[in-house]
Amino acid sequence: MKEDWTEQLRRKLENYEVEPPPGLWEDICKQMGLEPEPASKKPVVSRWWWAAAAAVLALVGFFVFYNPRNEQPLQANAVSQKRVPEQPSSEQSLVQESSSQQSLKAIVLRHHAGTPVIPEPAKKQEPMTSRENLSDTELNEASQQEDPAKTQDQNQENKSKNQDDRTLILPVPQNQTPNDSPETSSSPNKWSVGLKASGGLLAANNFQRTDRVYYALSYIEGPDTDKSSYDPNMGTIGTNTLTEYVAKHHLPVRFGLSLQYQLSPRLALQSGISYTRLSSEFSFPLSQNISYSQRLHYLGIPLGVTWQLLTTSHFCFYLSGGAMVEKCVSVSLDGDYTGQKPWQWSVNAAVGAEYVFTSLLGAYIEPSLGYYFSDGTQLEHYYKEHPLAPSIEFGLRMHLGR
Amino acid sequence: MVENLVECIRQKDQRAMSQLYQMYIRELSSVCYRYVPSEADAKDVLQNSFVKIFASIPTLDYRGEKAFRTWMRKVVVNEALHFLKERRKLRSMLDMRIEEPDLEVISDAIPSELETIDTEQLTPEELHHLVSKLPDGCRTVVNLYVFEGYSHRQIAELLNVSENTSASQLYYARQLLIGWIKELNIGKR
Repeated sequence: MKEDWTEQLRRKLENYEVEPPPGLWEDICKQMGLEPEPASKKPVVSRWWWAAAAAVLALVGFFVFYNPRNEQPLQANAVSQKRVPEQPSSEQSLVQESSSQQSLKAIVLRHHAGTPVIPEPAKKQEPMTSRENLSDTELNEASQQEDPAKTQDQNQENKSKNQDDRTLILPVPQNQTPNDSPETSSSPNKWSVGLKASGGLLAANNFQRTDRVYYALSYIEGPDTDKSSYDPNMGTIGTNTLTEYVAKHHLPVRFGLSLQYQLSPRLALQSGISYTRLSSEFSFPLSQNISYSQRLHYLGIPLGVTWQLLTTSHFCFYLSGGAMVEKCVSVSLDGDYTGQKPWQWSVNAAVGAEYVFTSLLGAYIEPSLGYYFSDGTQLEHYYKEHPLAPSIEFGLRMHLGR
Repeated sequence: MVENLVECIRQKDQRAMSQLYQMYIRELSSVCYRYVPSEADAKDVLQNSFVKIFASIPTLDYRGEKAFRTWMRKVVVNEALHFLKERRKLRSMLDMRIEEPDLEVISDAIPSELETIDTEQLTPEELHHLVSKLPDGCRTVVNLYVFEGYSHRQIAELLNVSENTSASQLYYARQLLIGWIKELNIGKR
């Protein structure tokens, strides 16, 4: 039985730490033929970031330059030689905007050759008829009805100016003709683009559970600490050693760009790209000053469907479900270590509500429940702790084509 | 986790080596300084220890964090013992039998058997300093007996001395520490 004083010494000094001799690491590197300073650049991570940025730009660019509701290129409709009766009140320009329920919009700019085109603010015209859809005869008849006295003069004037006048019809952003089928004209927006952010919800419900301190215990059978096990070069591994550490997993943070395609008035297919960060802190109670942090960075592609339950003038309620695959692009321990980079598979279901500010813009919120499959690695993170993880997602959606 | 570091070191990942070094160097330095107080000597010991640690990891059977940490401490301890033996300091110090007159010299009032060491008022730094002040022989015995958990029999076999020598060195260390701690506590008052 040891004396108490030895226990005092052991307890007081077993976790005591001191600064190492200066220049030790440099000398170790020199002896082992290593670079004194670890490489700080992470070209692999940089490539992933560039790839993610390129994907986001490609998605944004696609929807900026491509209008899925208008199959013909803009240039084809940009210039038209239609003859439109001149409005007495506006010699230089005419702006027409229909107010049809199919969101038919067009700006008709008429100008004389050599005269700068100055669009005027939209004026309300005949509510149910758009001028660019009428034939020349109809337009002439309409003009005669409006001002019979001037009809003859205007027709002559139009003929004389025919070579110089030019009418620009700019579809903004879609153009429909009366020949459009009722199904097409009444179909909802085909494409939506959204910016989203989400975070774990488990901590909000039970903070203690999410950031709780837990101990991982593992008993290890080691060699007996008798003399035969002492290797002067290798040391020994203790008998029945106990591994204890404390892990604190912070809430996951996710940002993303979503893309939604309306398959039918109720059913939509959605995908996109997302970035997720999982942060954890580890410490070892047996060694008070030993602790380190872990950051896992993922890029993911979700794929799922949404089903609209109820739509009102300002709200839309829906269900959604899908799966997501995420690739860990960076594992950092205190920012200086890159280790295993697993794939993370998950499935999730959500209910959502979207508030529609305008026909183009809406804000939504989606409480969801996801199940995260084991990634098959030893890495510990939030989803290992909470495979069945509730979360809440929110963001903005831009509905293209309205 | 440490297992990931070990796995990366097996694949010659220098950043993992640096990370492992940063995680444990302060603790291992403390262990080393207790055996070898001189900074220059401790640097040599730690350098050799880490070279052996990194060289041994590829063939190491990883059995958990605590076991790995204990193993690294053992490497440092064995390197320190090897260093002391090489310098012939340890053997010469252990050969100096502690006689009763020596104890009388070091203290006017010889601590009794019942007198205990009270380290409550000492900081870990002060206590570490006092242990480092112990002569090489009894300091080594204190380190092995108190901090590594060896028995006198194991210490005797490891250092190639008798069990009595180990026990007397520990007794000697105790007497010295009691005296020094008393002085320190009096100075604090």
